[in-house]
Amino acid sequence: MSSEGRLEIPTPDGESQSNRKKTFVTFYFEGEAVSGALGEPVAMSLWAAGHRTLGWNEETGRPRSLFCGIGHCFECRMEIDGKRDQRSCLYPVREGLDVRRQSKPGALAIVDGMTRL
Amino acid sequence: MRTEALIIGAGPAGLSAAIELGQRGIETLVVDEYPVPGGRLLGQMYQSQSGWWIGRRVAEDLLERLGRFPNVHLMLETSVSGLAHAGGGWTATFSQRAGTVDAQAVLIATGATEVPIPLPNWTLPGVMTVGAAQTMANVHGVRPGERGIIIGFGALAFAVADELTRAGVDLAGIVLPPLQGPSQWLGTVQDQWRRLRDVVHLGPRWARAATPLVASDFWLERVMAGAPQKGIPALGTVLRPNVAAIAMAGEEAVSGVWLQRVDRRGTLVGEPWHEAVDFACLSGGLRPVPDLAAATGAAMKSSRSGLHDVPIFGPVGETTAPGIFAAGNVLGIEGAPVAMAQGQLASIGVLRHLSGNPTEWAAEQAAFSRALEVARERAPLVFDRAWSQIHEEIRQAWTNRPKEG
Repeated sequence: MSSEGRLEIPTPDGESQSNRKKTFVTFYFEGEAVSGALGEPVAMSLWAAGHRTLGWNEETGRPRSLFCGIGHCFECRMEIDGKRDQRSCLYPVREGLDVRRQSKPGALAIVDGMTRL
Repeated sequence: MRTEALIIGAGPAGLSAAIELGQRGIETLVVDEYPVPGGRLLGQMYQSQSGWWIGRRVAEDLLERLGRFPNVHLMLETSVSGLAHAGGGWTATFSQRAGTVDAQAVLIATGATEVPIPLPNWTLPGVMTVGAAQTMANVHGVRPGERGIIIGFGALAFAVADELTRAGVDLAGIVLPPLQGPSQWLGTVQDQWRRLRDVVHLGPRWARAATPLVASDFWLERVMAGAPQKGIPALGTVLRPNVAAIAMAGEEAVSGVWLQRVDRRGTLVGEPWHEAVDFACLSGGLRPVPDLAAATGAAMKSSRSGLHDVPIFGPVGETTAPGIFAAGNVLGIEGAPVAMAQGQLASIGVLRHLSGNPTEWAAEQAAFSRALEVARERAPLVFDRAWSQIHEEIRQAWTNRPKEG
């Protein structure tokens, strides 16, 4: 596991913030193996692994990523294990998850405002 | 599924209420969207009068106490999509989860959300709210980037700057948000500078000594407009009170930020310049998430900006909707110790609703009310000065509310 995307914030008393130890598992991002801490949100593992673009805006095709980090803004929506529009900032990592970006540029079929509905 | 009490939100308010209900034998279900319980406690780490507040340890303590009660259940990864009044109680529906929950009483502890700052190119990967950076770094131990910038003087800006710099993340400073266009609701440059008065005590000793000086608007303006462009050292980074972010830059992700100097009136002056950053944290402040309370038909106090919309509530978290209670930041933006006391108070409201006895648990109510006052007195941060006034208006609105016959 690469540790460069990870950090530890020291507490004032030098103790760890938590007693819980992380267990790392492997899941798949666009078919590529990625390491993530079991139970942490998918978006966090992807960010730590250097994957910043989590999808593309349906109208503009511009890259999008995690924005609020707690499930409010839906900017980090991804296809996870075949289900579209999962909030990757909430979805917990498990061994073998299949995670994919949505709305690839060029695959947009929007003609006018009505078809978006 | 049936339960006596349904608590929506496993943060400081919801968990504190659940402990009180658990102790008194009430069948309680706590639900939360996040895969980990604790809410925003999980990322908090700041210095208070009574020493360091390490939110994750507080959350672990609450959960350990909660684990003793077999009548309390926790359901994570669960988003409540609706609450319908049915059969004297309430039926909750969920998104992406089959089934419903029938509850006799519901405590809404949905907390707060961050107010965004829509500057040009803010949708680029790497631009995030300051709370997202806190969650990333402090909850999950993930590095937001190599060099960042904090935009806006919301209360979280300073705590997160401290946390990130302690972890060795380089910051280009804490700068003003854009004050024109869609960010006008952030107020004037003077409003932003006045916010700094509430955080002066977090700064270095010499800055604390400047408190009397910046207490007058006359001097506040002159000190802030006259500060060196490279900033004033604070919290491991620099506060740049006369530099505003005007746009983000980058193609596939953030590669920089455009900055420009502002004068004493908040007018942009001189030429903008580019600084390289690979992430940016927007700190526009917090607002309550009152949507579920509003959906129940509870009377709301609305605000012109929409940033101060809260349910009208009584002394033990009652709303005007029967069996619907509220606690924590959904009632206004304050710190976690306040939310915990509000959660305890709301448990009294729930207990009275379930028993039909409106006078029981009076001694507990008095103790929790006192705890709430103490938590407010000791609060290390004032998030938004408007809330004390709004809460006073709500006290009057509650007293004068039309009562059903």
